[in-house]
This record gives sequence, C-alpha cells and structure tokens, in this order.
Amino acid sequence: MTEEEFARVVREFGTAVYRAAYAQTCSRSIAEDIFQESFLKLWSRPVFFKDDYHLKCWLLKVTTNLCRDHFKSAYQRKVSPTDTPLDPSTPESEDPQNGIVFDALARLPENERILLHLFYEEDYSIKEITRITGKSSAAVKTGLSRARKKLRTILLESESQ
Amino acid sequence: MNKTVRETYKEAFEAIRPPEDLIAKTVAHSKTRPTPTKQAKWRGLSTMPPAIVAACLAVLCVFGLATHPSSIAEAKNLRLSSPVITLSGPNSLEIDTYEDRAAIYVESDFSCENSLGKPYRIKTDNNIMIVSGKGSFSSEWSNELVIKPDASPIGTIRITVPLSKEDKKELEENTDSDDAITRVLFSCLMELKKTTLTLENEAGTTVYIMAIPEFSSWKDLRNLTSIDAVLTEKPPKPSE
Repeated sequence: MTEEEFARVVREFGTAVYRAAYAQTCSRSIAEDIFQESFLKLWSRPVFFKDDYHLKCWLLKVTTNLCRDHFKSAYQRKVSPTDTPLDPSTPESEDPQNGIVFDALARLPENERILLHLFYEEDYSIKEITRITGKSSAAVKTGLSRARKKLRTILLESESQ
Repeated sequence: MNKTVRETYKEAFEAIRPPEDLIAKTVAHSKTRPTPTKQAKWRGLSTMPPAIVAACLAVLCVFGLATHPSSIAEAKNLRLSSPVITLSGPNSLEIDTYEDRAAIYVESDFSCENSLGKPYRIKTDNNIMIVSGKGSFSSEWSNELVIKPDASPIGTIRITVPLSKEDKKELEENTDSDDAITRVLFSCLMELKKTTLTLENEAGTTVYIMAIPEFSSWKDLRNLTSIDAVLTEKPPKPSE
C-alpha cells in the first residue's frame, strides 16, 4: 500500500473505525488509541484487499478485536472507572437525545455494543456482522435482538419522561 | 416527529468523528516507517510451504517436551537459597543471588542475547526467565531491559520486553517520570510473585523460584528497598 493510498483509506474509513471504537469503549481517548492501532496494523501488514468494501470490513474486524483486547487487558481489569463513561465536555453529550443513546450504549454489555453499532450505524446484515465479529449467526441474532430491545426500552423511557 | 431507533442512533453518532490532528498524525506515521515489504525477513514464513512449517513446529514440540522439567512438585523437596532482589532506585533493580542467578519477568515473546550477540539458552515457564550471573538489572526509558553480570562468562544479557500498550503509552507520555517506570516494573514483579517457575541456566542447571515477597501496590515499590525471593536448585540425580 502506498502512502497516498494509506492516506486515502485513513480519511475515507477513519470515521467508521473511530465510531466503531467509540461505540464499544464509550471513551474518546481509548477510541483514538484504537483508531491509530487499527490503521497501523493496516500499514504494517501487507494485506491485499479485493475492494474497499473488503478493506472496510477488515478494518472494522481489527477494531472490534482491539476493543476486545482492551477490555481483556490487565490494565483495564485493574483500573475501576470512577467517572461516567462520557466526558461532559465532548460535543455529543451536549444534545440530550444523543446523550441518552450513548448512555444506553454504555449500559449494554461490551459484546452487544458492536452488534448494535454494525447493525444501526453501518447497516450491515446479520451475515456480514457474523463475519466481522467472528460470532455464530445464532449468537449475533440473539445478542442483537437483546441489545435492540434494551436500547428501544431506554429510548422510550427517556421520551416518556 | 417520531424517529426510528436507527435514525436516532445515526443522528447521535453524527457528532462522533476522529479529530483532524489524529488523522494527520496517523497518516504522517506511515511516512516515518519503512514500507511493510522491507520490514522483516520473517514475512517469508507465510509463503513457506505448509509442510515445512509443520515439520519445524513438530521439531520444536519434540524439543519442548524433551526438555520440560518432570515435575514442579519435585522442586519442593529441593535445597533452598535466598537471593535478594534490591530496588536501588526507581530505574534500577539489583538482583543479587547467592547462586549467581537472577530472575526477571518477561511477556510471552522476548528476545535475549548476550553481549557477544549470541542467543542465550534459556527456558521459560509462566513467562518468567532466569539468567545466570551476578549483577544488576536496569530499566531505562525503553522496553529493553539489560542485565549486566559483574563476573560471568556469558556477558551482558539484553532482553527486549514487549510492553503492553498501556505501559508503552505511559512511558511515552512520562519520559521523565520515575513513577511510570516503577509501575511497569511493578506489573512485572506482580507476575513474578504469583508464579512458581522452572528454568535452566546456560550450564544446564535447573533452577526454580518458589516465592516472591509481598507488596500490594506499585506505589509501595518506591519505598521498597529489598525483596526476598527464594530460589531452589534441583539436586543432582543419584546416578550423577
């Protein structure tokens, strides 16, 4: 991959990678780390892709794995968060509706967040999500259904308040 | 207006974009690194015929089984000696053993060679390695830890430890911070503490570490002056 091509990929798929990392970690700083790590993996490995669709799937898969590694890391296990997942200074928390979505995400189990994100944000099918996450089709269906139900409930609750 | 959950979700994520400087830094990084094709000769491994790779793995497995210590329990009956591991400062860890050996925690992958550039024969168990030679082990701002034996035929041992991402980040952000280095050392020692290990030095002597002292917080390390550990040595077989 040439430098120009790499720059194009970072600009084109950076947002998707960053959003996927943010959806899973609910933290801008960790999402930034994972963003860089994902693209460095792309740069440091001579992986060839059929097309941009294939490349994007690969990047999202790497991002998902890195997030999983992050949650499994010794550091993460030793450190217990003392603040809310969302930094109040971040722009997304200024809109109350957005805040509700992120709050709902943070309340979901880590493995369900990515399913929801790939389904809603990236419009992937169950089959595609299966490939990216490496889970079985049944696990994706169950997890997704559970996550969607939880999200819907939280959003409805917030609307009624 | 009633929005679908999908629309609400997408709208919320509209504001989530990577900062421009992060994109710029990531792109700039590719310019400072060699292109992947020039990086490592080991890449050729992936193009090797599977049969050759399988044969190499088989040889390694046989070697591993042949050299594996028969039993950790056996070590419990062995003669004990008490080396002292001293933290002479946040940046250095003196390991002084009566048996002229030192122990150090490493992560699963590491490289090790002496000052002559020769790979040091070493066996690890539970990510702990032991090196022979009385001397000091120092950690500077680097993931490279160096053991310099005072008087040893094997020369200086150089170990490259692949630090965790958090450790790397912490070291990069706190280049002058003794705390960062101490914390990294602590995480190494914490692993050492909970492990019984079996290793063999260059001379073929099998050495065991049975106990590592108590300390509960990495911050405690700053005030810690010495750590007692127990090494055990496998006795010679009756036939020897």
